[in-house]
Amino acid sequence: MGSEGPVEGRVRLRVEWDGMRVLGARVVSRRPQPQSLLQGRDLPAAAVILPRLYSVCGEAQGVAAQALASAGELDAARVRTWQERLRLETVREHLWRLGLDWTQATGQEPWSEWVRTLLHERERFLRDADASAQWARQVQRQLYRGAGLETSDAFDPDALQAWIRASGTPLSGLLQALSSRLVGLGRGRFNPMPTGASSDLLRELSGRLREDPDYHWRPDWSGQVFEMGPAARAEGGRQGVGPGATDVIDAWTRVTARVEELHRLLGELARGQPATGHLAVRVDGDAVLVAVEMARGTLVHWARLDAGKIAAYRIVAPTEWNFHPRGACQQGLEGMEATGEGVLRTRVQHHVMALDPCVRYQLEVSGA
Amino acid sequence: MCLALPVRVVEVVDDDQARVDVGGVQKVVNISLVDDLEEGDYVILHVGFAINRLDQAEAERTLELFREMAGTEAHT
Repeated sequence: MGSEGPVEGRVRLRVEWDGMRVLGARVVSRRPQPQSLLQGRDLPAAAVILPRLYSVCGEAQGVAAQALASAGELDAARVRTWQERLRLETVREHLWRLGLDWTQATGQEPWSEWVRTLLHERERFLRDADASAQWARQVQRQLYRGAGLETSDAFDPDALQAWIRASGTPLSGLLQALSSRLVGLGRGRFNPMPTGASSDLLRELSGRLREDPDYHWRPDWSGQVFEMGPAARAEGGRQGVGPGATDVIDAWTRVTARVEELHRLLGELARGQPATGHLAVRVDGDAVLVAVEMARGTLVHWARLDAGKIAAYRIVAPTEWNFHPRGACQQGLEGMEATGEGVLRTRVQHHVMALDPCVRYQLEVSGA
Repeated sequence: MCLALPVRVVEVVDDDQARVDVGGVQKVVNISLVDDLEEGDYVILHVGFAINRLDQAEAERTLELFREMAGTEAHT
């Protein structure tokens, strides 16, 4: 989201509402691209500039830009370091969404201390695996005590309900507050992006970005608009590869997927396991594309070079998929029930928060 | 893509809150994630929270990048 200003951009939502339910919804996401800043510079310069432009996803933007700059000479040690950075940023993002945003939205006390620790101790944690393991164990114990996740990172639905009723952790309390608000909210067809940007996807993205200067505003893969984020990663992982899921999803599933993924990542840190987040590079003649998996989904940077200088630079962020005119946000808004405009605005806010855009949104309601 | 726009601290209200200047508009933000902020410091904001401090030179360099970006975006 970030501070306000003309440069920031917005997701714009327009819903037609008859006083009972949403009859139609339009979603437009237009946000600035760094193309104008980077044109004529070289890729290493872009790798210095881009992390300064972005706040909470600065690490992912920096990794993508650095990977782009060194596409021809990616070595395993460097990739491992980037993966560790991406994992810590993802943990911080999940703690932020749950402990600051969702607690605020439900009137609960925020749990800011862990976010604060990750903001201040990131570099130490990257150097000192024992320190990050100890911290992760502590967070996991305090949030997930009694959750029954000792052998699996996925909740059993019945056990989850029993845990959030009986347990007294900050997380179980939050989930108890969210359960009645989010179950069934924003229900829509679930079409998760298959896990790990496949070579087919990278080839299509590279070609489309070259051909269509507006592709990054409304990305699709062979005509399909996929959902990204923790729920999509979990489902995509279960499916293996290839599009085709046609199940339904709601805000509750999206939030609990985040909770499960946070548990898994904390467990990896606690056990000292290396990060394995996806990072892929594709070179097509004078153009290079990098895809990295970050908290919100797959982040893509693409650049076309002319005599070693940047001729074109595009970023395709996960928000562009989830807030695509035919994406998960739009589908979840269609048919949303609300008996008053205040209720509608709150339900839209929760639906949007579950999909986690990286900018603010603006809602226009008509037809009541 | 949350842009890291630096804002200047106008007044530290208490341990958790400060008034900042966002493009000429003042607003109160949460500063509990950043230690020892003082009036005149620059911070990056995210959803109502200050998330890190910048020195003035770094803030000016970053603001110049955004001005350049905004200026050219208006014509694209």
